[in-house]
Amino acid sequence: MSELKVLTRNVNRPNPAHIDSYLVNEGYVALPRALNDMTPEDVIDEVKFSRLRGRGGAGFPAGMKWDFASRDRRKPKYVICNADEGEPGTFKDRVLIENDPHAILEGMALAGYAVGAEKGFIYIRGEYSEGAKILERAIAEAEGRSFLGKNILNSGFDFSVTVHRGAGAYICGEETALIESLEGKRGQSRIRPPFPVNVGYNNLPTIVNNVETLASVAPIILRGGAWYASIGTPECPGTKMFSVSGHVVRPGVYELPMGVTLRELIFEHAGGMRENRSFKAAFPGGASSACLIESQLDVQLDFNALAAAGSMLGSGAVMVLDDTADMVKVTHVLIKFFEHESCGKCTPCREGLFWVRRILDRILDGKGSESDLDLLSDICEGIRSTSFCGLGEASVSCLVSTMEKFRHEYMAYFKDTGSGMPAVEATS
Amino acid sequence: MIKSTEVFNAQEFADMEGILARYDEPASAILPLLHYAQGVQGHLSEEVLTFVAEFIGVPHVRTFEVATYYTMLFTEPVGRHLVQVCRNLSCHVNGSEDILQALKRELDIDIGATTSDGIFTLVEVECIGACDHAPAVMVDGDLHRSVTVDSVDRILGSYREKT
Repeated sequence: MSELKVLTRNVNRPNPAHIDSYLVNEGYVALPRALNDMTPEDVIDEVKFSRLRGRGGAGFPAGMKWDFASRDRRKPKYVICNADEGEPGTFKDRVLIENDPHAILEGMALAGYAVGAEKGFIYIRGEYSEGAKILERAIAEAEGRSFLGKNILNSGFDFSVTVHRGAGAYICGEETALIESLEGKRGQSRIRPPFPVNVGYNNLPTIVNNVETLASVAPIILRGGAWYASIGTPECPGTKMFSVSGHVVRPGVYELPMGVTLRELIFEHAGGMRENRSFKAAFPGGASSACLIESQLDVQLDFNALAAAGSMLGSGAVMVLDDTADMVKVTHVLIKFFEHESCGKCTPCREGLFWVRRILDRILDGKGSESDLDLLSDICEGIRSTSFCGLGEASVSCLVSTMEKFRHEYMAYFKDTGSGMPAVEATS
Repeated sequence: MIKSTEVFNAQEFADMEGILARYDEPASAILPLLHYAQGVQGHLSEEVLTFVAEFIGVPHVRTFEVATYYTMLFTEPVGRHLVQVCRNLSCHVNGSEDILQALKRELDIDIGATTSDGIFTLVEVECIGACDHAPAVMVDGDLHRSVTVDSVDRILGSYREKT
């Protein structure tokens, strides 16, 4: 399966972020077409027809989300672009922001027109300070050519966009925590329902869409939902930007039709494994996903196939490990991440991850015992089933899956010899 | 009420009014104003947090709770340059621990500490979205890609020159 550059069509072109670069490649053609020839309902229908599913990780149908928000009569409404890309292993949104900011802005304006919103925010993670500057420049350019602002292209439609920087909290990628943060609070998740489409920013109807989702909208309006739905798999249409990293020869972002296999992605696109090394495991959806092993290399990378394989697509962050990786240490790295990023609101996530990390410390210290694995399983089940939000629920997938698939590596730590793995773990 | 001139000069005060004006809901300006204030002051002292709360017109606790929640906001002084080493998986398996050790050696400080000359603070951070160029180190807002133990010295040197 070869790369299909729909979203990445402008990546690596000269001066890619400039509005003129965007305009020569069918940029801002979809927006005037929608404003002139389509009703907001037509736009929603086209997105529904495309069966575009949210690229932030949850895979919720974008058209349905927009439909819910458009049916709510309260005003004002808001469009939020979720650019708080924080899932470990994910860097696709950074590539889009830096190379094609106008594709995101055009998608936001189309979304605003569709749901009846006049105000948009781009919530961008604090670490992407360069990306925030690029977006602000792009907004100014778009306002200068009447693609954003008051009375866009004399259509009577107003839509403005403000860039809002986060400050280093992973949980703010979760849409309700993001909204809390945007309201000037600690970013902690809200109970759902009600969903943001009805009770969002300032308790008003709000759609929150991922960068990649919004960048898909203009091509859908331009070429039609049927065209988009013909790409990928029937249940998960379209292209997906995969962020590939870890022990591969060519880490990077690869845009491929949904449903490409893990094997093709790693070996045909990302250059395969490093010399003289073999594939050991991959986390296909970042730190929140369960690991896959060699016998699963032919799994299709899409929402449904990965769920059936006991893992998840998430944001498409494929972290690949070779035979030098110590899976206990790998799990420790990921659990420490979740422990740090737990917002502290609910007890199972806050306390559970603290204790899980301490037990892993003990195991790595050579002071663990086999009964620790039962204890860990027990705590994991508590965290997974009783956490307040998705962060806690997904936080132990790495641990549960490595305990199941690499139990022997944990067992090796319970012997006097310590790790059964080769001493070399990283190259530098 | 703290007078603006005691904390920020006239230009800074005008910048802050510009930030506040971007939002229909004043409380939404808390985070951007704290980013701005930290950029000017280096860290968010009690005085600054109190001032920003009164500037926006929210209870003091609103700026204090935000400042103590987010990793990128500092309520204690930090060095002039913040050296942030990614410790997450893709950087970890590509040698971030070696980079961290080299930085500790070179700066002669532990994680979380500031050099005695006040120039550098060294911290470990979670994934910064640069996994395609692991291991990655961010100094202030600058991303350094595919860092090697040998390049640590040169990277630090370029910031020493700036101070």
